[in-house]
Amino acid sequence: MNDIFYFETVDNKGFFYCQDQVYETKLKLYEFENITRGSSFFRASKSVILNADRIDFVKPGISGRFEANLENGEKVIVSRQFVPDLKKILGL
Amino acid sequence: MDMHEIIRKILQQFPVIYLGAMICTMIYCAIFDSDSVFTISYFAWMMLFSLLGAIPSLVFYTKKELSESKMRIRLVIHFVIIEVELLIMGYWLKLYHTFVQGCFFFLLICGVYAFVWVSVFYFDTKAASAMNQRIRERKKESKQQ
Repeated sequence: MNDIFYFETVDNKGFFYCQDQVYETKLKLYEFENITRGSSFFRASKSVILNADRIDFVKPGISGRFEANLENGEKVIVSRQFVPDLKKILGL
Repeated sequence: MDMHEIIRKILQQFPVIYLGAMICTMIYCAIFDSDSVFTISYFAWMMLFSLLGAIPSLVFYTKKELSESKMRIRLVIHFVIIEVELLIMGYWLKLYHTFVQGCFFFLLICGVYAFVWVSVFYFDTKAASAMNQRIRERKKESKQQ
């Protein structure tokens, strides 16, 4: 499970994003959220569930949101309303 | 951003905008009219102004997550709405009379807007710094295991 960097839904389709690969899945966002509850995964935005263990660093954006830079170089937006969930996982 | 988050943002921004507006009133009067006397109704009007300054946050309401560029466009729209709204209200309430005063009022609104965003960005930077510290610690702990 920790090989998954993040899960995203696009046009009602689910995708797992790993280091270099992307896999399509029939899982819905809420289903994946239920499966990963209590783990290092958290809801980062309306369509993304992110693995906190795969974040390299975060930085604030001008738009009031945060940008999570991942270990594979990708950047994922973390909406302000979900930052407390990330803080909880990090123990802050 | 969903509607609950928008309402929460409006309620959070309102006191910050009010504080910024009070500071700008002080500066404005210090430069143009140091003998100004204010009634209680002025403070109530400023509260209304601050609320009117916070409500345009509805511009950020969206069912889908926006890209950074689309979010910046909405930021510009938000700023323009606030400027137009407050300039009209200010003229109606006779807060400025001449073109020069109007320009200064415009700059004051810019100042309050910048104050709100700079303070938000400042606290976000601190939050990010704390999170990054913790991320580094977690990675060290996982390597040691």
